[in-house]
Amino acid sequence: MTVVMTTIEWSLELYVRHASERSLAAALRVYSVTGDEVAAEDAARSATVYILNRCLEPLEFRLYDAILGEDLGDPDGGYVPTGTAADDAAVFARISLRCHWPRFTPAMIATMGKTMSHSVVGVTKMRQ
Amino acid sequence: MLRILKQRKGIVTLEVIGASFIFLTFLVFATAVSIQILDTTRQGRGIGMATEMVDQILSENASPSAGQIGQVADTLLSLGYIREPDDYRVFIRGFENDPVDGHKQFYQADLGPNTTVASKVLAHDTMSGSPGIEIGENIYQIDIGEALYSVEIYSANRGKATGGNLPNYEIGVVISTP
Repeated sequence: MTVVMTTIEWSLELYVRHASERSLAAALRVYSVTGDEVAAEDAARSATVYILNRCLEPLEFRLYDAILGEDLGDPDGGYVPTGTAADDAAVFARISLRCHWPRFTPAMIATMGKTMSHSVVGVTKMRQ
Repeated sequence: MLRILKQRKGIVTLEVIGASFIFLTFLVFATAVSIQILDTTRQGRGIGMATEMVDQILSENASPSAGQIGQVADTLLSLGYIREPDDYRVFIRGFENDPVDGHKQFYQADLGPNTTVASKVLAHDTMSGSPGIEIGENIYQIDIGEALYSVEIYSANRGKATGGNLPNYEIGVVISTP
């Protein structure tokens, strides 16, 4: 039973990692066209299933008015969208998706810790 | 009777060990395949992002330096789309016209994180095997003009796996216009 549960959990973790890629891609696509955080969040959640929805944290957005010389990997780079007309100057966006999965099988907890944390970060050009 | 039971117990134990071994082998194999698929997915998305970044950089500076274009590779590395600096190299090629039919490449930039300068194809001629091409002058400025360009990521790891050190596995090519 332990082996079966461990296998199921490991498979779920792999699925979550794959699904989070698809979720982020969906969020990037929608956000680049609409500039709407809520729509991007909805797109991310609708691109996957209930299991991933449970572990997904709210998406984090950063906007850039220019990227030349910018380190897009810096989590503090750019600025947080304000939801005002000031955001219209943004030409690039960075979206972070995080998933925290509380592990439930003893073997997985003993070898890999209590929580799986998976983070995916992507950038896109704004096309509004 | 006791002997038969002992024999049977031994067989069952062997069966359990054998089944566990097969199961674990399968699990490891499935995991490796899954991680490879995930890698490929990420590399595919990385190439899309690289193209968008190049597109944006060119719109901010029509003649960027190799270092400025090189920030694309740095970004891919810091976001995890490239794992190790030595494993992957990013090439950007500029084309005067259709890169598939015309093959008129006018520059090639190697943007590996360990690369400090880019190589440039000086002549506007066919891409390979034709006379008139001069390759090798190190440049720091890339004049892209109104051409097409492609962004390509090659994995050196795949090359090593197939017996060589050359980056021979093409992950993706995206053609766009600046």
